[in-house]
Amino acid sequence: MMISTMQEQNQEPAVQLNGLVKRYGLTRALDGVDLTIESGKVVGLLGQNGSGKTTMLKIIAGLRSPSAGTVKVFGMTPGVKTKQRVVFLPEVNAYYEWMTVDYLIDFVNSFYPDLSRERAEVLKKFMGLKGESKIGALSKGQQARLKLVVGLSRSADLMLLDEPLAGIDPPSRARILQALVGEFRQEHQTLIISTHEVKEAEPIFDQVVFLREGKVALQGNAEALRASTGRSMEELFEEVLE
Amino acid sequence: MRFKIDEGSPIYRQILETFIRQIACGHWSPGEKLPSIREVAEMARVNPNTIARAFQELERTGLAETRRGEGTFVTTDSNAIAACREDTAQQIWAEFLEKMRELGFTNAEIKRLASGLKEES
Repeated sequence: MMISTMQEQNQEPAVQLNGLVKRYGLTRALDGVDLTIESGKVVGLLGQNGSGKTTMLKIIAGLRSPSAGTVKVFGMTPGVKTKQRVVFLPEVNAYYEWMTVDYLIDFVNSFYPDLSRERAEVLKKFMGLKGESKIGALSKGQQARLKLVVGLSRSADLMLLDEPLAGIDPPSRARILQALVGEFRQEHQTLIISTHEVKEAEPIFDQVVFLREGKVALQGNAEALRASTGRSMEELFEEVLE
Repeated sequence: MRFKIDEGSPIYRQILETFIRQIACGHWSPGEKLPSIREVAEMARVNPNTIARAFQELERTGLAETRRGEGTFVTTDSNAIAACREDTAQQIWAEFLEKMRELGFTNAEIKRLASGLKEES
């Protein structure tokens, strides 16, 4: 019984968008997006600033509701039930500057009991962060690393990362990508990573989705696109979006 | 282990090529355990599914075998390794010839260069 239920869950796409539209006043942040993301994949959501990446992630996370169209996360409309299985890491730092690294982990753990303290310890070391450091005193790169420590310490089925590499130093970027690859569990997890810095991140993607002006300009399996076009995702990004 | 990746062609094939060449040159000995999919993924910073595909293809060449729950091991079949060495040499030779022809070298000129090679002492 248990097993068949789990298999059914796994066969359900992690995310399914149909005719998704999001309007802010007169502008259409998303303008009719159809997209299926299978469970167990690492997906690159690629587009310029203002292309609708953040809006799409927020809708999937259940933080915004669509103006039209449907969203299904593990077959359900985003809400209380899906939020237990989804982590959204915003680009903007939402942490209190007076907290220390360890205090923050405790704090997040208090409302997300699925956070694994053990994993947080391991990741903290891997990311070169000290428990007693004040968040306000961390560099931008260190804050980005900390965000990953917190996010990856929760065993969420769907992780949404908004621009985890933007504006941070190369060593931090390398560490973050390494941690993402090392911690990703394809048996049950799905990662959606938005970025406009394609070059470094592209080897970790299974699937890429190019967004332009709220529409999907191109999407597909990254390796298949490399084989059929002879181009990197970075080159395609320039061709498709500029 | 270092991986130099050209993102403009399928990455699994490049990982596969790297392992084939390393097995051919004896970097990995017959019967030796290869790093796990996750270890390679982390080192190369490449999607684990991509690495898994490279390993599957490596198995299909007969150069490695996966034992359930133990990992992936280089074959102990010395004939298979010898054949792989030969194949790899042929490939490198073909690449060399292509580059020489691009430079405008004729077969006769290439032969002249090769005849200048000293026997190893």
